[in-house]
Amino acid sequence: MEKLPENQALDKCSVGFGVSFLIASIFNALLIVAKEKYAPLKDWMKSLSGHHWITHGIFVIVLFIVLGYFLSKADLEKKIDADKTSGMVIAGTVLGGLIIVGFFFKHLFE
Amino acid sequence: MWKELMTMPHVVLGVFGILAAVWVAVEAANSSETNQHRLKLASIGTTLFLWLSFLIGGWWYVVYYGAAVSNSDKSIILAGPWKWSHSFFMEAKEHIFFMLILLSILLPIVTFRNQVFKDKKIRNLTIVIALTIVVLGLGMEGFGAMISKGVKMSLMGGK
Repeated sequence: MEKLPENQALDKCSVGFGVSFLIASIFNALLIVAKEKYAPLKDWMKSLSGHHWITHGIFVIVLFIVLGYFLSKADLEKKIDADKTSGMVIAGTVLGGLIIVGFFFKHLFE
Repeated sequence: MWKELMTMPHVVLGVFGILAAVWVAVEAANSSETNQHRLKLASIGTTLFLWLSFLIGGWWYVVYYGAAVSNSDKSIILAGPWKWSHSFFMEAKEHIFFMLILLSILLPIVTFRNQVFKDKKIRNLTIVIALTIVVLGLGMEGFGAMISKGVKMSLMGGK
């Protein structure tokens, strides 16, 4: 494999959306806990689109895009490089995944 | 027959999305000036396949899977011995899939807005995103299998 240099700054959008992924992923997981624990929230989400899952998806995807857009304008690339962005992708996946799996885990024993 | 056939594209397109993400990882690992078009093509392919899988699967889930009738998959599972194939595997799957969708948007942002072959860290980021898609995607396939098995166990009376 060719040895590559390490001097290119990661593009602003890539950093902004990388950070946004971490936040949106955790938001996704926490919204599950909130709507499952607080029925009026789930009912309200259902009333917006006809199904709570559709509203959930819209909230998460819109948050990711809007947050990513604004974070892309924030000059984060000076503080966050590609390695840190990789760490955020992994952290977002692990944290989001663990919260979701952990929350529903008790059902495995029903 | 339409309803039954439409269970297949969700799975098949999901597999195509996983394969495209593997392709991205391979192109990124061997990135040079000459393979950038293939890297971008594979990353767009990943996005398209995962979104199509998501939209078709989501439509099937909302319209058929969870329908409030006695012969929907959800009702059948909850009436049988493997209730957890819905209450754990389906509940987790339907929400973990959102993470895949976010990653499928992030991947082409990185491959189109950076010259991946010029920086080792950016190349590694591309590989991390692609392989995370692969791992989550394979997890979704496995979860889907457990959900299908939950229906089967109910129809077989738990045998």
